Amino acid sequence: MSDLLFELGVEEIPARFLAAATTELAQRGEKALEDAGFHFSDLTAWSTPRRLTLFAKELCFDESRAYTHKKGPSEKVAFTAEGQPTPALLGFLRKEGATLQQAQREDGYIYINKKSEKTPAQLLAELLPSVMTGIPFPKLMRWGEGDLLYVRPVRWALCLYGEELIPFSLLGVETGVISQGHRFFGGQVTIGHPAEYAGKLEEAFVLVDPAVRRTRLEQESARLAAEVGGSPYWAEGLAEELVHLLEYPTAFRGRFDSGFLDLPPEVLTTVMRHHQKQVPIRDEEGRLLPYFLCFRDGPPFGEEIVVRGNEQALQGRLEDARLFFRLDQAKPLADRVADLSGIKFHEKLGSMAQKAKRLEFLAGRLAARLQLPPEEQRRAKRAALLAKADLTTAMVGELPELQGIMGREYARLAGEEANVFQGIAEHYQPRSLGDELPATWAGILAGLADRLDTLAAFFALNMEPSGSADPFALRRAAQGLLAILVEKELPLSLEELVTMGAEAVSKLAPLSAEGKSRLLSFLTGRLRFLLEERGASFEVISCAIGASPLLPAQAATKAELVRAQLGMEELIALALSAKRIKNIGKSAGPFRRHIVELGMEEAEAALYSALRWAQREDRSTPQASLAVLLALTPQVSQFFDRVLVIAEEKVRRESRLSLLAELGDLYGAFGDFSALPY
Amino acid sequence: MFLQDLILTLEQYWARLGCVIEQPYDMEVGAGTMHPATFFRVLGPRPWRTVYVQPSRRPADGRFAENPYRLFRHTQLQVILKPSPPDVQEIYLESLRAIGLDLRQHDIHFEEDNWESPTLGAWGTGWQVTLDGLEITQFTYFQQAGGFDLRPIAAELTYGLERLAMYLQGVGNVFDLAWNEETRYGEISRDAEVESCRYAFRVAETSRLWQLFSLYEEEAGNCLKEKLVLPSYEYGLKMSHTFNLLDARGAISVAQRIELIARMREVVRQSARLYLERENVGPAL
Repeated sequence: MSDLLFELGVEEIPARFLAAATTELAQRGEKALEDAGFHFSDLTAWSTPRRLTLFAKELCFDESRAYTHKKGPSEKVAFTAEGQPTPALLGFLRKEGATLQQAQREDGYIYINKKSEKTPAQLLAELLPSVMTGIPFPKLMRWGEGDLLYVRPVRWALCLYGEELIPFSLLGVETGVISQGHRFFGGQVTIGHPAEYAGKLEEAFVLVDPAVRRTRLEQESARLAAEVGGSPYWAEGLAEELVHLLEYPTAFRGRFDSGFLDLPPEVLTTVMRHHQKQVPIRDEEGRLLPYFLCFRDGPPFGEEIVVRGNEQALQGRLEDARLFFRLDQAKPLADRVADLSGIKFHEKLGSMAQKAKRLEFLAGRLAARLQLPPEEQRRAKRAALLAKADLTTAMVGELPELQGIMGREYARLAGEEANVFQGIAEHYQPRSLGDELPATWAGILAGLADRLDTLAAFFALNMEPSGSADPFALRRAAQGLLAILVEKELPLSLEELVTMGAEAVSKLAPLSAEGKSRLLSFLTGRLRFLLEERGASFEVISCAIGASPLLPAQAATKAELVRAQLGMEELIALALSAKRIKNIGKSAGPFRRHIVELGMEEAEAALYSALRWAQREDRSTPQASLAVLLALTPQVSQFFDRVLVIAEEKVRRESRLSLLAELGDLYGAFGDFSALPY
Repeated sequence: MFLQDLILTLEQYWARLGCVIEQPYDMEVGAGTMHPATFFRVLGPRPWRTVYVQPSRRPADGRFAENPYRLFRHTQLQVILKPSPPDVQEIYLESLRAIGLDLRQHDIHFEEDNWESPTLGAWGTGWQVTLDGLEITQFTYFQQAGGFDLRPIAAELTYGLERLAMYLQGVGNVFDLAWNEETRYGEISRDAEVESCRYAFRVAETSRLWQLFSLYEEEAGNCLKEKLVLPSYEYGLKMSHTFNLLDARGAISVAQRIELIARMREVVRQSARLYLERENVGPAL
């Protein structure tokens, strides 16, 4: 029983690929080893920018797996009457690489029983290459003569099983026992035994375990920030990226001229994080301090030099930003709306200036529809009009991540109202699934208007997402639109939104009736996805979105209500009756005549009066509506149990069908209960 | 280290490794990649090593010599190693030692940066190399040029000379760089910077530039008909520079941009195709 070590040395692998590749390596390694009959007590994959490593502890080969026991042809087929092997048998033996001596008769069939000649080392040499070569990287490349394809050029490989070298070749290199330490501090490292790998590489300034690097990175950062009374202001994914960029992370603290703190904080943080891979430091109140953290690969050598370089690089970018900030303010944001005519929304969809006008129109329509106070309506229109104006600023040209943020800053400096400039920044929210939502009405409405306009415009041109291709990010637009409707509980239906969107883009690109219905079903599909994310099942969602018009906010509530009732007797009865009505409804139109005067059967009369009661009840909220429907179920069940719907007498038949049609309408106003799995 | 010593040292370093010291191309280009010594030589099967300086014009980056980092015309030092040798990263790093950097005292990263030029129908994978947080080199394994898959693969190293020299000299403004003992960068290029910017941002007559773009395209077509590789490509370069001027004026919409790039790429692709036909049968150009 020995440990197994397999390391592939690669030129710097893109940081964004490494986390997934490492997970994949562990899974592939585990599967390949187990499939071949190996056992191990533990298996780990590690990585640094320059290596991928698989480590299996206490690996041993299950000897019983060395035996092949294989069923072949029946005896009758295998041998001629004279007892000679037939071509069928010979073919079988050839395929299994077995001899006639290894063939045995068992229960009328031929079996071969043979022991593999291969040693565990040979098996490893066969299975290990594809563990590495098969890792799916998002982007591959060629190098040198161009015969090989991998994520980056491969430079060395190491494979040890205990103290034994497992010799094989892959991706243009032969395995050996030599690894490489840190580029400038390590040199070659000879590994005698897998267990000494991590330790020996650490001495050579390579921390092979990403988790160890992360701890070192975060602890050092926290310590250095605390020395100046602050804490590191990490951004999503930045620590992860640095972990995969450095083999031996060392943090240093630099500083910058505090005069730059006059710039909007997002400018500073964006420049540091996105462009310099530096981490801002902030105090307890969340204010930025004139310090930053930068990182070197290797031991803490050359601190003064590395910090000075980082300070210079940061200063250069900040000076640029300061210049842009000054130049941009020479023209008030509102005056920039006209300049948007120079920026196309899309080749066939006019300019961003036209779009800004449409956003103003749509935000106004939405605000009126929601009966907001006049000043909120005005702010929403203003924010929508100005929402895109910052695209013409030099700062956004240079730092596109700051769109919206700069709009807010320049609007504030130009004296716009607080809700307006907040709304400008917020209209991009949510930027992704689970991101924060806008807080102001201006932000909510400008955001809805922007997404609605984009969706209607591209659907009008038949440029819809297909399969995985969604070049205009329409799914994300729909997702944002729905998230706002649901979370902000806005009483707006998809149908009326589609109509408004179509109206907005009508002059530019008319949305046909058919286009509208495609947009509606696209949005319905995205609503399904959103409800699924919130944990509803397919059937519950089908029920919740079954009403027309479809209000996403209500659909979300309905899905939760129905989910809470799943398995309850009343809901099951409701679902079953909905199915029966649906089936009957297929064969009969809605007749609206009652025959009270003819006299009804008891159960029929009971349903009739229950229906009248239900129609008078308050069903304005999903909660109330469902409560009423559930209360009806005893009468409904009795009706189906005791009354023959398809009566011979035409008048009675029609009357009963009409009763059910009314009940169906009542159900349908909530959703499609027939979709529930009962 | 003076700027000119930086150039001399790097050229000598790469020359010792078998690189032909080519001269800068005598036309406006946006990057050293557009020099025929790169664009054509990375095509086809022949091995090739070269090093050269290439002044490169990026009108939109012009700042009237008022920005300490941004230039209308900056200077690249370009190295091509075809096929890329197994120790290409090490020999690159050795070139940094050659210009006096102690790599244990500095921090060097290779950060993913995949280069792409839609105009040249070219892309590659690689990194930007940062020195203490400052991007100093673009390191690319060319995968495609002129729309053609490449084999063997060339490594392209592009040093940003001004940045590197500013760092080495500890200078905060590019115009203060010491070209040699007596002469500063600004003395050589400030006037040209200001004038070029005045032209590009204020004077350039966009309607005439549009005409020129089309005229160059027609002349490129004329050359292609006669199977002239370099002349057709050169008109493609003129189209590209004209495009950059129009872009600096903000005269190109998103839609037009796509269309214009497609037109330039077509010229370049045809030139590359002609070159490959020739490369496969006879001597290179």
